[in-house]
Amino acid sequence: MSSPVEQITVVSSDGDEFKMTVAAAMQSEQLKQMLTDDSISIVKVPVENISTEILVKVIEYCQKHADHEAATKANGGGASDSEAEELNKWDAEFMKVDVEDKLFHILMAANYLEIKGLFDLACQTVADLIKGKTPKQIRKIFNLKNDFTPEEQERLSRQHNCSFD
Amino acid sequence: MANSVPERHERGSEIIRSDRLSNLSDDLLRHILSFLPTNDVIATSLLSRRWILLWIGLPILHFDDSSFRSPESFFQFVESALNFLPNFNHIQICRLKGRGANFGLGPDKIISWVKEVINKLNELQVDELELCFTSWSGISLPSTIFNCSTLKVLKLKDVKVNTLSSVNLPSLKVLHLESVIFLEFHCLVMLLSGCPLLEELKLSSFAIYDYHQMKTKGIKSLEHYLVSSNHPSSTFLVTLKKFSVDQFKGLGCEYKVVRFIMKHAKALKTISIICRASVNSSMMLAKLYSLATRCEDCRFLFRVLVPCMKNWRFG
Repeated sequence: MSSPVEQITVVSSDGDEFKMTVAAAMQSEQLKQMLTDDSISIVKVPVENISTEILVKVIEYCQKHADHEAATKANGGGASDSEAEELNKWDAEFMKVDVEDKLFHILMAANYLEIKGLFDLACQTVADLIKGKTPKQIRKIFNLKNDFTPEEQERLSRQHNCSFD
Repeated sequence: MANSVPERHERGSEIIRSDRLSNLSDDLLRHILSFLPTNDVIATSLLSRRWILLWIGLPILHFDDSSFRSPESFFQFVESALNFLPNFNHIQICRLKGRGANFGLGPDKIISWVKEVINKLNELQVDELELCFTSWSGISLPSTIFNCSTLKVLKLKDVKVNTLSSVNLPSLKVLHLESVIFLEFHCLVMLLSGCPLLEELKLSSFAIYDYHQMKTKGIKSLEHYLVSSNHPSSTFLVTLKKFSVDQFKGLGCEYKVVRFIMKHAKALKTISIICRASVNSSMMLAKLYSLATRCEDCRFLFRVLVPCMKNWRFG
């Protein structure tokens, strides 16, 4: 019989090891399943496609949200307006990362580890960059290649009754 | 327009050197699109060849008038989207939000447009419907919306509900009512009795317009309306598991309704009542708590959340 686990160790693709509290690890469906499966005794969990830089951010998110959940539970199970707003503000600051590297890596890491809150947060951040922009502006932000021929462009923009600009 | 040299585009802290967005799978991109209102989703179909068909398969329609220049252009967009898009997707969720100003558009025009949209949504047999009519306050909801056999989730905000001839929502499990004005108590009771499988009910700042009607007609309690409804009172709210009230002020008609619901919903597992202004609550709280104890294994949460006041919890 193994003793109750209080911490687990995750190993980044760079080989660096990080300790996570069980509460924080439970934010990830993947890790949660491993933890709740009695037949697996966990020593170290390798996360092969997540670099140290991104893993640090992901663990930070998980710990913050685990702490918030614990505080809410202790307080009677309902978050007040100010508590929820504070967490939202924290999330917004947390997502102020450079769009090229970190944002997409965080999105994919959250997807891989099945951390719903972080995954949705990252997707919402990308969506906010798209919202209200013209196709030309969106292509500029994400460096997307426009592979339409001039004729196709013309036909599509007429169909959609708007311009590409 | 080929980009042979990586473009450096600075916008605050964003410096893009390569196209990371395209590395994401179609499923991931669709998930991102599900966070956008439909008009932005359609705009992405102009980005590149890959994106043309990406939005197909999205089961969500999300209309928000705040990014449209005029109510007419918004109405037009919604109409063409409702006619065109369902050919490609089975629409499961529809959110229609009028939150901008209505630019003085005449009520007749709005009413006929709303009727058409609701009829179309009924035809589409959506699972989940969310309506916010802040822009068109004063327009009452067409009763067709309360007669939909497939609807499972209904969320209403800033709407008016007038006299209902019939309510038939046989699949409805979740009902959220925020800032909804009912013409009279009868409307609210009718709405609730027309949802035989309701499991979750959330009320926030509702009002009964003709509150005094009960007094003038000599009606003693809300039971009167239950007896006169089309559905048997023995099944009224028997499936309700979760009941939450927000912005509870403890005023007469609010308190009446909350007590009435708690009295009938004996299968409740969670009751949450939140006040956001200080209320004189001790006797009211005691009565509500005693009603909650009649439910087996029920968690009762009553909170008064006022700035500068510490939260206290009872029960």
